[in-house]
Amino acid sequence: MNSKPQLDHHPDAESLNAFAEQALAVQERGKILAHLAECSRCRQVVYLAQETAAEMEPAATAPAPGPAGRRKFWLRNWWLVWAPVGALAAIVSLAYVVHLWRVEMAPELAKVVPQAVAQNEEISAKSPAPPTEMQSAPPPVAVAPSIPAPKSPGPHLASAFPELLPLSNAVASGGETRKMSNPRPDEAALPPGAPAAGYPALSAAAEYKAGPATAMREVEQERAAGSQSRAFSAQSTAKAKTKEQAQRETSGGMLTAAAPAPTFTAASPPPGSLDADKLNGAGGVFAVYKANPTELPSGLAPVSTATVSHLVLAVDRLGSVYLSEDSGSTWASVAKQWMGRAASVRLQPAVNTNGEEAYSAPSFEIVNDVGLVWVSTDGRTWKAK
Amino acid sequence: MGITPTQSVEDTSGAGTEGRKAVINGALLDELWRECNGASLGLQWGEFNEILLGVGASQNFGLAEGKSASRQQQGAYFRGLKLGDLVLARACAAGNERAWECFIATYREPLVRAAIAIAGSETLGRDLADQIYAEVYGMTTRDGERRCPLQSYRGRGSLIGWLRTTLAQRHVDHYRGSHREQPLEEYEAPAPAIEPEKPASELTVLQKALEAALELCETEDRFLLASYYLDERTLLQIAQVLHVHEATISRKLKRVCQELRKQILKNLQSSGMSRRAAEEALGADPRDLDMDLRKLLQYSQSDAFQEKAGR
Repeated sequence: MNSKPQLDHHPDAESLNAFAEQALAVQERGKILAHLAECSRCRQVVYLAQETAAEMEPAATAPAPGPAGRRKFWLRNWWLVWAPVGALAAIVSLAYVVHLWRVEMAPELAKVVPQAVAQNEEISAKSPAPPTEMQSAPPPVAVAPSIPAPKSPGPHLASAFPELLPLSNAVASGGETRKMSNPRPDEAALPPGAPAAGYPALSAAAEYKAGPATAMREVEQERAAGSQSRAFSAQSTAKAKTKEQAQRETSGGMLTAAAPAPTFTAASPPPGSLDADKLNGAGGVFAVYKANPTELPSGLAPVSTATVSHLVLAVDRLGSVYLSEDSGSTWASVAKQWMGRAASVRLQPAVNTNGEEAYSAPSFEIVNDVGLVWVSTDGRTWKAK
Repeated sequence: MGITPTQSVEDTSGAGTEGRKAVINGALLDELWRECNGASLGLQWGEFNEILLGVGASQNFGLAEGKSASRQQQGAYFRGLKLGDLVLARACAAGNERAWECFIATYREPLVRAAIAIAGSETLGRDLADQIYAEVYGMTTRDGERRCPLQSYRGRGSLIGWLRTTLAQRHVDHYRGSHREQPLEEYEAPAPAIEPEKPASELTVLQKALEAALELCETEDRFLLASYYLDERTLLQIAQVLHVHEATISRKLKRVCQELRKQILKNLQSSGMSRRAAEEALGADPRDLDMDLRKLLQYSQSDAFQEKAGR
């Protein structure tokens, strides 16, 4: 092993600087490098000088390109802008095509509904004309798509990719209840024919072309599915009918079916789309139907709601179910415990053994897209009926 | 002015080095005079000639000893230099007032900033800058003769780079000369050195194999190993000195280590070990080896540089 101490001779500053600035010939550079490999002092000098140069020179020697230069660059390369613009246009058009495709596919999906729903459609086809208040509304479509074309509520991408919606809901709500604006009573009681200025959700509902038919079908569906509701007595039906007629006259066309306390309502957004006679005649749903301007945490308007006291259960058109415990001020998502897509929610009054209504413990019901029913007393825990 | 611009230096100055007449073409000289704008420094034509003759003759215009340079070779040599910086430095060294004014206006502030950056402190940096400034101004004398370090500047790199390197040299020398100093009250007498145990034969073989492998390393590889492992420089710092990308340094280091390992294995096998035994020996704890890698890597056989470290 060599025990030679530190070198006695070193290259001068001129040579070290020339080495650092790459100004040496190959041979001399090799000599300096060989010395640097062996001499820690000269390595220190070179590194120190190099670091100082790196600190000082960017500010001193590298002039920043002036604004004129930058402008010149952009003017010269303006065509580069087309790349992101083209990509954006492609994405938008693709999303639009997918959206159209899904809307076109919706009627085909509707064909899969069970026999019960088909029967309901037959009933709705035979049903009398809508009341005079609704004559200005578009006529009901005989075979309405089960997934209506979104006019205004909800983002388009969400409608194009509904499978993404639960995730976006989770992100938006963060697993907590989301504060929603509480619908005012006067908003809720607006007649269907009333001007909808100032109520975007209501005006959106007014544009809901397939709405009346869909709402009717849902009500008929509820009627068909709710076997217990068929046991309503004729007496109570008649009472309800007269009360509803009286209330409709006073409220300017809102279809109401008043019931003994406690009040529970099942609402469907298409305003004034229900035939109260038919509804009460069937005795299935004892409810007040009203236009609901509220918006659920999913960003969509509810297609069906049911209310007991301060509990409000709502489902949007994508089948997400939400529960509010403060009359619609705040909403919480209900974990899915049913099969398929929740199509509507409703109330099922408790029925005693005599087949008469007993309102001590009404229960919520969820009807899915194939007509199966799940029941819950608190809106959170569900079991198949 | 001693001579006219078109007149050959050969004919007039007679200034040569080592007894040889310098042969600088007059037209080339005129061209260089205009390029470096020597008149703005208050230089006379004759002074400019002398500077170029001195520089060119000292290195024989970059050619091998004994060869005479043609006009093109002279032109190429001078154009490869930082001629403006060189003329300024030489003019300052000669005591030209206007050159000094120019030097101060151009380099005083960068010199102070560089000194502060090198010393890492405002006070120390300004002291260092003042010291260099006094040296450069020629306030030191040796053997009764005024000495100016600018005389050693030969124009191969930039003058500011030369100043930075000189600052770094002074700072490193000062640090290395004083960092081992400590107050006496804190001084503790070192324990008597324990006689090292005689290493096992396997370790001795490994040590020799390592020494032999390091000796075979290329110059640049040794520089890389020393910079990275001994000085603990970053890849970026090494890359800046060698003017390559840091990824290149990373690749080179990896290659060097692999080659070193191969060479050690080879040396071990050539000393009679089996492959497996050699690999096992490579797994030995490096602390068991009685060797100083720093000394081993920094072993020098060259005395190519004649400048004394201490000055």
